[in-house]
Order: sequence, then structure tokens, then C-alpha cells
Amino acid sequence: MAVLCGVGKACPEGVVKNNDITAFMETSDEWIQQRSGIAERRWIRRGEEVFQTDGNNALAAIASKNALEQAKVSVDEIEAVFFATISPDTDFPGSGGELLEELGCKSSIPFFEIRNQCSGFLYALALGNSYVDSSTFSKVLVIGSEVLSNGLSLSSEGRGTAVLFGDGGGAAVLRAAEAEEQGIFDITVGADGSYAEKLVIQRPGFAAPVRIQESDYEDLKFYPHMEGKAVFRMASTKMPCLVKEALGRHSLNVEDLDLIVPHQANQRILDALGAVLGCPEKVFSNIAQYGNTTAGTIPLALTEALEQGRIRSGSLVCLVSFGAGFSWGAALLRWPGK
Amino acid sequence: MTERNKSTYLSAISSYQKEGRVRSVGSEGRSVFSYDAAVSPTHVATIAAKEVIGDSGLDIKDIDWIIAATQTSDFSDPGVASLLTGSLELPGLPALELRQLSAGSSYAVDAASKLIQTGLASNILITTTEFYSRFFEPGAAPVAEAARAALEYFGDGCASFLLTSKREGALLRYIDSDLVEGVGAENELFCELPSAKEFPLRLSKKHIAEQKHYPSIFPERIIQNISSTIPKSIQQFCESHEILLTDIERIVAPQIVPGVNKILSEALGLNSEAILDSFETRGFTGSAAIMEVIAENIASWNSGDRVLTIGINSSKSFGLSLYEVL
Repeated sequence: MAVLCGVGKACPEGVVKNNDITAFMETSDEWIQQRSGIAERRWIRRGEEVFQTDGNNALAAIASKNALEQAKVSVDEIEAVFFATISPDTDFPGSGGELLEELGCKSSIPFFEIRNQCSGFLYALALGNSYVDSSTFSKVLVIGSEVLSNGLSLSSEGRGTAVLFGDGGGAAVLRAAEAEEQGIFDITVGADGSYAEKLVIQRPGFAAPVRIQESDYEDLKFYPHMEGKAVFRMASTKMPCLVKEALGRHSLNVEDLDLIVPHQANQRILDALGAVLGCPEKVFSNIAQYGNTTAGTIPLALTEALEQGRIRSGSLVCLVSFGAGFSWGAALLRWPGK
Repeated sequence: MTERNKSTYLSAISSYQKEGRVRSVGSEGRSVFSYDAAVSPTHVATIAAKEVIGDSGLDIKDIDWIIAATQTSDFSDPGVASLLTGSLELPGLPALELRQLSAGSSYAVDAASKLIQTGLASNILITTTEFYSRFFEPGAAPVAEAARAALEYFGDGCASFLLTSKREGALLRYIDSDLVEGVGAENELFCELPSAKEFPLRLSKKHIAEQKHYPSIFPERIIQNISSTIPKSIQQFCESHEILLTDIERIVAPQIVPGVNKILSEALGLNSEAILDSFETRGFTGSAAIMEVIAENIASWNSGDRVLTIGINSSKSFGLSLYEVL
């Protein structure tokens, strides 16, 4: 069993409020907040204003170093990295070499690059947990981080999705649990590709004879496409089920939970989650400040929940996600410490 | 939850060999599956998956995880793994997508072995599918030499296989892997775009016009650097398993560029013909290459043979895996 012994977050400094977005697309603060709960998000750039040019690896490295510091673990002790992202700094070979360098690694280690969209962090956590649980490694780093702002249609045509996404993420250090210590004791992930086109970024993609061409921009295939009602309906149904099923496997109830940290896609989904489970006060939300950072939402939210004192030693926490794929996941963990 | 099991077995394997596989015009040895949009990565992965499940004797409902190691999914997001849960009518299955280039089969197999060891899974379908030809439009004429090299060498490949906790009827016993991600930026084989560092768009029309969206490969850098890192890692991997490299009966090492295996075999003291490779017939097919070679040769291997696979992304990033033929 693995224990989360440290978490950290990272976001660009550039705050982009809803009213800033109205400068380049037909929308309003009221419309965005009503439909999503988002008041602002962090972007690496806002128009011509540059907040940070270092890309996703820089964010992931900051989050990781914060997590390592909290865990009191040196980067040299990390034996593998599990990095969930849909926005790497290079298409291939991916993030590994440069991110390991940013972290200050002195020697090569396994670097898993995981592409599972909104559930990416939970897939990475499942894999990292397996490596620790099988006694292959004793300390690993699990990261979820995104730079999504440069993949959005910043125009009125794209307002349905562009206003939702932000840049940022977080990281967690996993170590082997000590005797009598309970850490990640349940983790489940799943997918149903029959719904893939309900929430999709089609291009660049290899289903067509060439992965990208100019018409893909006019056709909006380069940008996220979402059938909002379908996503809301499925997420609102699936996420409470995942929580209940996870608890049920261990004869636990919602009352036993201290906090639920869900993927931050839409405040209305989070409200539905709390309502169905009967515990709105236990559903953590920071979407108003950060928007949807895809694989970054859960570790970012987890870090903030800890900072705010919502998680303490011994807390029973449920992580839950639902998103593109469709994919989903849930994890139950006990926070370490006395 | 299934009982924990320490051993992992490869029970069935299939490479996509069906009609539609054509040779690219003007470039000997590079395979292209099809120019038809109906033939997508998930389409061929589904065909190979159904074949391998059929060969295994399992019911499709016995599959409890899917792992896809690929750089070339149908969509940017979601990927082949999720799409397979739809095309195979296995809704709800865990579907992990890895981006590990040629080391993909090593990463996927090792990840699968840990899921099986910890009781999270019993029968894992792994697909390695690459449509590298579609990095380039038909008739592409890249200006940059590094992109022209990629056009010449990149091919399409697909192999599917099953990892299971059951030895009965299995083809290979999986022993271990060494997964190596070197520190520092890559300058031998890469595709920069889309990139989180590019603004205003991660891949723009301007990038396309300037041909910056093509992959690049630098054969001379690979050839120059490869003997300084990989042979030593291979020797250390063998030593850690108390075997001599010269005692390994089967070595599968698909080349990224011509000449790699000649250098490796010289550095390792092997006859270059001892290394099995598919480059001359397929080109560089990334994550699919190793399992394609295994699928096409395993029938002639002997029980007890050790198999070493070497999936090279660059001189500092690669995956080594060791199996035993059952």
C-alpha cells in the first residue's frame, strides 16, 4: 500500500478574470459563473501579456518540488515518475528528459507519460500505487499538470469551452506505507469509449490520412468540443456512484468521509455530487479560481484542501473524477500521520 | 479482488497483417497501412485485439484492463485505449494510455505486470499501434533534412497481446524490464509540436506552413551516441539477472535508423544477424515494432529460450525487457 506523504501545486501567475475574456469573445462574467461557477483562471499568457513562457514542464517541476519539500523527500530518492498530461512541452518523446532535468535528477529513472485526460491523475495514481504496493519502488512522484490555454479557440465561436479551462496542476509523493499505516486502500478507474466524441479534441489526430491540416482550424476540430448536457448528465450520475461503490467495498458510508476531492469541471457537477450524496459541505471546490485544469485539478485541489486545513492526519479522503473518454476514477485514502 | 500473483505471462500475440498494408511509393521498406480514413489506429487495434483474444481461448469479458502504448491516437484526446472500450464493447474497463515511443511495449508490459502482481487485474489486453505515416500528408516534401529522414524511415505498425496471471497455455513468461529515461532534452528523435510552450497556439497554421509540425530524426547523432550508453545498460541488465548476453537466444531490437544494430552488436560482441529487426521491411514503427517481430518469429523459438527486447527512443531513452519462451 502506498501513502501520499506530500503534495504540491503550481499555477501560472497570470489571473484571467471573466471580464478579461469579454475583450475577445462574446460572453459575460454572469454567463460564465452561472453555467460553470468559474470566476477566473490562470493562463500562461493573456493576449500579448506574457506571464510565463516556460511551458508545462516548468509548472510540473514547481509542483513536484513543493510536494517533495512537504514530504521531506529528496528528488534523488524518487525511483519513478508518473506524469499525467494532455499538454506536454513536446509531442514526442514527451516530457521525461527535460522534466527530470528541471527536477534536478542526476540519473535516469522510469518516466511514465500518461494520457488519460480528466482522469489522468487517478490513472497515474493507480499505476504509481501498484509500483509501490508491489515493492518495486519505495518512493515515486505522481504529477498532473496542464497548459491548456494555447489550445483554445479564443473567439466567440469557442466560448462554450474556452472559458472553462485553465493552466496549472499538482504533484504527490507516494511512499510505501509503514506497518499499521493505512494509505491508498482503494483505487478504481474505468472508461467507455462509446462516448468519446461527447468530449473530444479531434486534431491533431491519426484517424484522418494526415494528422493536421489547415482546414482543421476552420472546422474547429483543433479545439475542444463538448456536448455539455451529455457530459453533465453522465458526470452527475457516475461520480456519486463511484464514491458510494468505493465506500461500499469497505463497509464505509459517506458519514465516514472527511472530504471528497473531485475533478473540477463545473460547479454544477460538484453541487450535484454533494446533493446526491447528501454532503455538500464535504465536496471540495476551487473551480472558481482555477477553472478546469484537466489532469491537474485533483492534485491542485488536494494541495489546497490540505493548506486550508480541510485535510488533517488521519482524514479519510475520496478522490473522484469523470471526464473525456469518457473516463473515470475514484480513490479512497487515509491521510498519513497520527 | 483477485489473488496476488508474482508471475506474469504473455498468453497470445498478434500483429496486424491484413489487407490494406501497402508500401509507400518511392521508399523501400516503409509500410503504410492505408490512406483510407476508415482505417484508423483504433480500427486496426480492434482487429488485432479480437484476433489475439480469440487465439487466447479467453472470453472477451475476461479482459479486465486495456493498455495502449501509442503516439498516434485517432484523436488528440481521448486516445486509443478509451476508444477500444467502445469498439470491443467493454464499457467500464480501465483503459490506460501511455506515450512512450519505441519503449512503449516495455513500459506497457511492466505496468501490466504490476497491476497483475497487486491483484488489480488478471487479463490485460495491450495494444501497440502506430500510424507514423500520417505525420506526413501524401506527397509531402519536407524541406528540412531531419524531417526528410523521418518521412523515409517512419512506418505503420500494430501488434496486440495479452498479459495474464495464468501460465497454462502461455507463450512467454515475463521476467523484468529496465525502463530508462535519460536526463536532459532530446535532440536525436523528436516532434516538437503541439507544444505547451508555443503561443498563441500549441500548433498553428503558421507552424504548418513552416513545416515545423513534422517529426525530426538525426541519424548521425543516434549512430554517434548509441554505443556510449545502451550497451552498458544492456550488460548491467543481464548481470542483474545473472545471465550472459551471449547466452540469450533471441534478441529483438528494432532499429530507429539503419546501422544501429551493427553498432550495438559490435559493442556487445554479437553477430549482427543475431539481432531480430523489422526495419528493412517496415521502417521505424515505434511501440509496435518489438511485438510485431515477436509475433512473426515466436513459432520458431524453443521452450526455454530467453528473449531480450530493446526498444530504443534515443541513445539515452530506452526500454529493455526479458522474457522466457515457454
